Amino acid sequence: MSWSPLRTALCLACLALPATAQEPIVDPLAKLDPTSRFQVELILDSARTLGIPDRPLRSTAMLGLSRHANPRTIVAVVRQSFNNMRVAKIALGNSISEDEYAAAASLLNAGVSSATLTQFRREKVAQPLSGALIVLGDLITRHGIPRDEASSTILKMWQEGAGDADFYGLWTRVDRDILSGQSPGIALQNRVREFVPGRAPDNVSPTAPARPPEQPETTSS
Amino acid sequence: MRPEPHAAIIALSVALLAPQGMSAQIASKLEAGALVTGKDGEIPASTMRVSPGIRLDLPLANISANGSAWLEGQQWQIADGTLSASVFTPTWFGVRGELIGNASRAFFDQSIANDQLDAQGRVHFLMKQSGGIWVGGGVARPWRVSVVSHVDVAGAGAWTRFGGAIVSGTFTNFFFTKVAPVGDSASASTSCTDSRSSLPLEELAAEPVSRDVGTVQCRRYSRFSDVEGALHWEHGFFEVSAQTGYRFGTANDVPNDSRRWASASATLWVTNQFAGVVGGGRVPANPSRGLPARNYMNFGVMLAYAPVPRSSVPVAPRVATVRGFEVRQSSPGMERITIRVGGVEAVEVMGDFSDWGTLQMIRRGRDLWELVLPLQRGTHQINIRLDGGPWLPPPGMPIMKDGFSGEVGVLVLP
Repeated sequence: MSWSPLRTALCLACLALPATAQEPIVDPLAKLDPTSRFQVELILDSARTLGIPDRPLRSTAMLGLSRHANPRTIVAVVRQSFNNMRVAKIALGNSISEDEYAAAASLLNAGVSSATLTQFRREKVAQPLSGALIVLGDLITRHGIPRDEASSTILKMWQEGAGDADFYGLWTRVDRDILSGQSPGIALQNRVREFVPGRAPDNVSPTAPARPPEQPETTSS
Repeated sequence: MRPEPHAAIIALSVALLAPQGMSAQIASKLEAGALVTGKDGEIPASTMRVSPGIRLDLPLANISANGSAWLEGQQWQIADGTLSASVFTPTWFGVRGELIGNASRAFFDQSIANDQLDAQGRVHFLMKQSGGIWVGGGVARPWRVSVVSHVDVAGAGAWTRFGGAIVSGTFTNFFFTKVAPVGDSASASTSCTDSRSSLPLEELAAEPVSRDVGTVQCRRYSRFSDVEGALHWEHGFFEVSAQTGYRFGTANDVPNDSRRWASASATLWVTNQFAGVVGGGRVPANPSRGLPARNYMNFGVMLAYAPVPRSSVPVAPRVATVRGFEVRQSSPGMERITIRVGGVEAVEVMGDFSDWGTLQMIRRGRDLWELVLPLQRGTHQINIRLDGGPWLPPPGMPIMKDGFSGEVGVLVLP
């Protein structure tokens, strides 16, 4: 029996199947040495005790593992994140979400003071905060806008009622202006002037403008 | 009984286009069009040709199969086929090892058809993402040709980016023993026999008879070296590839029609999976396979979920720019991540949603990569990687410092 091209194609297709199979679930923290893992577990336990979400901290440890960071570095970064989240909890209150914890911790890591963070303490529980914190962190870390200037600008917008969509829309326009050659500080000030409190924002998020659901791939009738 | 390949060719072509939804690791293409070939002094012949290709990519290995068939009279004739496999070592301080194995069949006409197995080892030295060099060697074993030994191959190459193009240069040395007429006296012979007698020529020399030199054949060492340069340039929907080369060696080993050659092809992508192709040039003889030098011209169309690279020299990551990154809801609870980036062979994504484990994206077109994931509302941290390069935040989203001297993108799902 001769070896046909069709069989070759089928064999290649079969070879591909194992690559898509599920891999066994293993706790990634098991890759840490026992001492470092114990220290990370202690930090996670402390976070849970204080009512701080441990998922972002665990995620930080896993990120360090994926970066092949030194175990000591991983423990130090997780500990620093935990400390930042404790500060964030004190500054922003108990009602902040997991996303807001992560954004606030990152902001503190970028050099924003806890006093500045405290100004974002909301009076209305429903007022979103993560968009303001995320965009503020990006403006400082990526675009190098001075911390005080960026903080006061974003804080003013937030106090005027800007929501997450307003901040992501602002970020998109500022980013575009910077790419076209404007100085980051000027781009920020120009775009902030366009913000009108109470007006519906143009965009909802930087990567998913309208998020319409796609047509289902298969239909059942 | 002569095989009837047309059904198999059609089935293979359909099979190559079908598996895209099955696995992220399969890429395939199908070229179809007219091919005009001709040797020096002969009238060119034209025919219809179909060339399917498929490649399976694994993290440290890839397997590919390519072939072509042309229409001869009323029947499809398989022209050639190659099954290749490469295994890579991880890159360590910019050094990467590669083992390559090929099994191929060449069919030029009814009188020239042969098979070959070859294996090569290479060591690649990568200079960040801007270029690299490699050295290597291997052996090949052809059958049904005048080459009676294995073919030793040794070579080196270098590649770099030059503007928007990838430029590569290779030097390859071939060394083998072939059966040649006694008149081929330029190279040292190992032994000669008279085709009318089974005795070695040394014993026949004692006999007081004259011999016809045309009946005497000798085993002779043959050696030649190829220097080849290649260029690949992409701009938007347009691609150009060109190569030229020169062959060093004695006149007995390198006929005049194979001293120098050049060829080029241009591809215009109409959609992500449909392109027009035109090309032409000169191909040198392949003495180890018994294939003659020839001129060719081809034009046709390419149906491609992914073009199979023609050159394996740039195995290192290329610098590519992500032109688009988008996340849209695929179904309730499921998000479809789409990345548009050309000129890469692998796109990976990781984030807090995968516990920072690597997820390979599925190629859906020439520059389109997709992955459907269960993602919850809220913010996610995410990074992408092209061709094993550094992990970077996707474009069009805010970033955060990650505490490990890197950055992550902040994906917001409202």
